[in-house]
Amino acid sequence: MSASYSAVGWNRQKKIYDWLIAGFCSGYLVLFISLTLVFNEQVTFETLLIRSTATLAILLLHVILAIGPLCRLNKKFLPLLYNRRHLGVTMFSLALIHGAFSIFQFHALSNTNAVASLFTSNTNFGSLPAFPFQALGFFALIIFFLMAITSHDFWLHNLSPKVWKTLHMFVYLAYFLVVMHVMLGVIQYEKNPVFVIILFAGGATLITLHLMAAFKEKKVDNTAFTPQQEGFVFVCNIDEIEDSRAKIFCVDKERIAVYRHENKLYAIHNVCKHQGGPLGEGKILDGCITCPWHGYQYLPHNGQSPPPFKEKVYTYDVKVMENKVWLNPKPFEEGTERPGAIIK
Amino acid sequence: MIKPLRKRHLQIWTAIAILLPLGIIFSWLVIPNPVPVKILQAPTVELLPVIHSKKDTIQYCINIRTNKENTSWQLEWKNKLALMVPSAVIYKASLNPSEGGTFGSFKPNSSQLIGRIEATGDYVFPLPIDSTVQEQLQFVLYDFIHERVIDSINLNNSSPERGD
Repeated sequence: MSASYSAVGWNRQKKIYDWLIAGFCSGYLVLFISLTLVFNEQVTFETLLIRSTATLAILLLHVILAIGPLCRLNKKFLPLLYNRRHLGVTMFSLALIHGAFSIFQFHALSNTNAVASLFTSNTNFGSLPAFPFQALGFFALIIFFLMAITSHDFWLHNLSPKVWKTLHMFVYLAYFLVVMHVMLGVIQYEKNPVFVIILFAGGATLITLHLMAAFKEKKVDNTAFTPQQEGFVFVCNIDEIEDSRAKIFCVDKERIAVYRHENKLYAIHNVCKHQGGPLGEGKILDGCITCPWHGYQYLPHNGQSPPPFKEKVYTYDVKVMENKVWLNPKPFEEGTERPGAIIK
Repeated sequence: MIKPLRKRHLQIWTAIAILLPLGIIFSWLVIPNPVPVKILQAPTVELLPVIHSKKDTIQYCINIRTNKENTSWQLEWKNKLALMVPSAVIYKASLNPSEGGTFGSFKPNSSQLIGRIEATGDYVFPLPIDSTVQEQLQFVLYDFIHERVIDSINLNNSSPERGD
């Protein structure tokens, strides 16, 4: 969280994260290139680069797409989410190297412009085995490029969270394009089924994780709260909420986080203004509710970020009666101060 | 995430759960058998013992091989460096004397296709040579995609030497 924009707001965690990414990528590339040279010593430098960066980019894409649902299924994975955008930019850089060298290798020596050649050298759109698979990879790369250049918070604020999130959800289309790029490309020349099995297993894992997370969330959303009393609904007993932590309730289609702090209960909207992180899964640090995704902070009594920050979320009324927590799902304006409910 | 976004995620992944396996399975089923691109080269060829003539350049090394009776001939092409084109074909040239008999008059349709080379490595092709006729061996390395001559090789007749 920063009041002004900088290229990267470095901190210890981000440095460790990036060193791990760099170490893993370097190790993978060295291992891939070494093994390839052992088993195929006639391979050219361009081919080595094209294949090693392609396989690493696909592996990273699977990791990136798995982080979201893993965090929703188990909070222990949240540290992976913290700097996911750096992982995304790394994946794009590798995909760009793969794409650039592929165009150079297969199209640059033509009399036609290399990019034009990519689209005109094969126009078998009606044939599955001869389909122009390179175009699929090209369009996926364009999506990754748009995501990479807009990954900074500057673009999140200027494009608006809705537009930004919509743009970044195109990653799922890009993933589909990448899988088909591989299946209709290199796999058509490959008799060994191991590559198809790996790709299928990767897809099956991602689909399972995302659907499991989605159904888990759906269960939370469909929880019915009764009885009602003057607009308040009973949500839980006091001892179900730990100190400096929250419990999340979906009442009237909105998720509300009820926090316990300094012998009081406060209720705020569960969605962080930054990237929609679940505020109720965070904890209170230095008197502020802290988003578990990227550390954005809000004051529990008014849902405002502490100055000089300007983010605000909805606040709600909460009351305690006979050790039971009652919540009014009608929101107050974002940033409206509420007294909270004293725990007797 | 807000509820509409969660709902959209579920819709997208439900669609992917249907489309992705279908895409993978259909792509897997249509893999051509045999693989379409094959080098025009005999699978395993035993080298003939006598090297009739040879030429060595930075790019490649060529041996014209024959047997002791000069009844069978081979072109052994050792590609030392990667080609600058995806693949190239070797023609036994038939140059038109009326056009000066030079490689500039080379016409693939009226020449004899010997074989195709791609990556670095050794290639061996049978060579149709009539031993009763003294002919100068002329080869053309031809880029059939861009329709241009990459190189031309003129092998002078020389005394046969023992092969390895």
